[in-house]
Amino acid sequence: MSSNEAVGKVRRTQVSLASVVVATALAWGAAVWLSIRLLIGFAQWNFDPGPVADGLLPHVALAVALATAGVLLWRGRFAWRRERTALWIEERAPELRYALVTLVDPSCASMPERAQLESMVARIRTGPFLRRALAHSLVPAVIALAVSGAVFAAAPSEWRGGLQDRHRLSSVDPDGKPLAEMPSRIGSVTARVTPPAYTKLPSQKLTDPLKISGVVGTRVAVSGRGSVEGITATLGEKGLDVRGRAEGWAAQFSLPEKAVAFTLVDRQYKRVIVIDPQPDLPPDVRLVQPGMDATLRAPTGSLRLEARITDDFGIARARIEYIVSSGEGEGNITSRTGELGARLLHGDKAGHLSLTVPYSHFKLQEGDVLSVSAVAYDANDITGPGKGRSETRNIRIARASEYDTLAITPAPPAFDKTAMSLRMLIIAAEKLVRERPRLKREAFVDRSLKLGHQAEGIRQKLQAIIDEQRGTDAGGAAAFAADPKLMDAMNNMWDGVRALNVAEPGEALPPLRRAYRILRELSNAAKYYLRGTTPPVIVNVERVRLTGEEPVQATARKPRTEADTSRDKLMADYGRAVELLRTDRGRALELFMTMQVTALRESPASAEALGRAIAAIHAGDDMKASLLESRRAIEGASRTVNALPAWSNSW
Amino acid sequence: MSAFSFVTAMYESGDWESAPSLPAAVIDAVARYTDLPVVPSGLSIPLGSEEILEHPFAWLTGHLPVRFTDAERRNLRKFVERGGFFVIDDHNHDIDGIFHKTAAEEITRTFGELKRVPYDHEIYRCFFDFPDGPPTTSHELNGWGDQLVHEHLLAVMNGDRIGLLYSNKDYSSEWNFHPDSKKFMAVDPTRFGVNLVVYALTR
Repeated sequence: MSSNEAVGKVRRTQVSLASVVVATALAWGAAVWLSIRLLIGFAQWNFDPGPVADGLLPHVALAVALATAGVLLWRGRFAWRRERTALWIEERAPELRYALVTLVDPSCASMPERAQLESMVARIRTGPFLRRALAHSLVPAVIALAVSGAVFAAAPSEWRGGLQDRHRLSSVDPDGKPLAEMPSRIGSVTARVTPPAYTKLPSQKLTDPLKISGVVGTRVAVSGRGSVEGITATLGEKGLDVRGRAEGWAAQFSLPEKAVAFTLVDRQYKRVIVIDPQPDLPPDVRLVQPGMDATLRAPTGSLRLEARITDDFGIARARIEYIVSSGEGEGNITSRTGELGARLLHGDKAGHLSLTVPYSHFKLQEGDVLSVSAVAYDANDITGPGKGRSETRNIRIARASEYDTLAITPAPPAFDKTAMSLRMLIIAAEKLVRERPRLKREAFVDRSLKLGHQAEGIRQKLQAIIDEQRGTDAGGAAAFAADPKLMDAMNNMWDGVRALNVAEPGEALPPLRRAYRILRELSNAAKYYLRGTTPPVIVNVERVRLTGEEPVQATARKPRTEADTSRDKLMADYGRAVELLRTDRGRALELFMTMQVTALRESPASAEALGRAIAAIHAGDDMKASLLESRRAIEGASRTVNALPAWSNSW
Repeated sequence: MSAFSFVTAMYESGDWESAPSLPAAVIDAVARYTDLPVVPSGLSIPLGSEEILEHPFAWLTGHLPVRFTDAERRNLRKFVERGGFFVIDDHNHDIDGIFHKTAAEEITRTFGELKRVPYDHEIYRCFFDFPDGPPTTSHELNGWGDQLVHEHLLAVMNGDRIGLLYSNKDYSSEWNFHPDSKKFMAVDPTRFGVNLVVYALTR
């Protein structure tokens, strides 16, 4: 055997040893990485260590694995040098007595004993040494790798993925890209908002909305691109069905009655949209005629009924409802109900009812009370129909026995129109007085006479009202006294008419203004009650104080819990949201939107300000002003005290 | 502390003054069993007036249809929302009578559906103990009205507290007597009135 053969044997052993060392290091490193990764996944899934830890822990696993492999490579570093490999062989074959080390040492190349040494080396076989080394180092490493790999494969997928891949999906996107590697599928969404048909409002398409508003019952379809798998949607607390479509996914719902948050989740991504439903208000119904309650001497003549109705979207139908109550007291009160003048309004936003009904229609008797009110229904066929009702007017028929004590007034006419005409007449008279210096006498007199003619018309209307109040008996004489205020207005109107007819509008103005003021007072007069006031019964409190003999078993009073107002909660959330803005803009935005949902229900002014702040945060604009506005809106008006604060001592 | 005033709410559509002696009977009971400062005669205040909001307790009754004006409805809502205790009692005690029908409609329109008050509610225990719920009135038993014993009172809740109590029991008839008449009665029927006042003032 030549010395080259000895060196070759050492080199082959060195290559084999190096391979074992590297394989062992890699196997142990991989086993350690799998084990730590599984532990981290378990911890992340169960304890939610937070976003920072979520990012760091996978790197920690890799570092530990690399360190393990590095240590093992360092320990096997002898395999990189030929002399150390030769020594490694010598350790396992002591009969060589350093013959191999000597042969591979370049400084011994010319030794005369080389032939003897080479014969000693030729008798040694290194294969068994290598197999033993393989069994001692590589086999345990491979076993460890196999075990850890098997455990990793058998563990729940959530542990393998941890929080970051909590929603990792096994499927792939239609494009062939694994979903776990895809960007958010809810980052860009479209909302189609379809109001109920009865509102006659058009549908609209919103791109990436922060808030969706509409009347209660409006259909909303939120859609986006990508596969549907793993996307969840909730409306408040209620889960929604998210369905796949040819071009993506979509979730549909109807706007509820109260503001809620619509939340979309796609793996680690989350998106909140504020749902701001607007109620469909019931029709606003005003009973114009009769203008006020009244008591009639007898149910003769006709009752004029007139109502005005408005609605935010459309009125379906309206009618007058009446109740006739008969009887005086306990046990004998009876009633009849009925409807009049029912009318279809076909979804118009405004309408009116107008009819005249003879009193005989109601079959009224002495002491009966006729209550009339107007009712309207809107066209809401989703959450309605909304019902609006006007104030009630009561027309009472006096009993014969009440004639001596009860003030009888007929159903009053509308003062408003008379008063309005008078107001315009006064304005015209004031204008004439102002223009008097510039007018020729003929023109001035002509205009004054025209005003006098108009004033006379108003006076005659008043006279008609007074005549109606007075009524007439069989002999043609007045049956009742007219309202003294009406008489006062009438007298002032007489004075005004006279002054205008002699071309003295300046002198006509004071009485006309007095008449106007009186008519306004009558128009706004408080309604009086039908039965008078209760007789006062005064209790002798001191005489009866604590003389009761019934057994008392009062329970202890439990103090009420301190009211935690929605404003307090909003302020607390506001502080947290502002803090979050510094560390996690996404979660801060989410919290602001949740606050807006609360504010929409309880503090609409705050909701508007929060909406502006959300828009600024979302757009990345300067948000200071809108945040300040939000805080002020949530805090409400400043409270003032009637004292100087303590720091103003010097004042 | 200002003295308690028993307020009768005046409303425009009906006979609000149909139980004129009731305030005195309840005031008398409050004075007999408690040391609450109490004004010796009741007040009648229009429901449509802001003045009613200055009081914590108000009673409304009648036989005729109840149709609130906008101002009355607005004030009733304010009264309850601000922590007042409003009692509406059907003087007809008809389960489908005109007062019940119209008053319930007005309440529902203003606050939403009425809810039953359970027998273990504090209003039955806060002063006198009424383990069987609202005390039965003689008018329920004597065959008048709907000839029914109404087992429950109904309420509009303001948080966990009763804001409006609605009764078909006709306490307006049962308690509508001069306080001096109590000496002829075996049991003071206005004891439940004390519970109402105590509940209104302390709970």
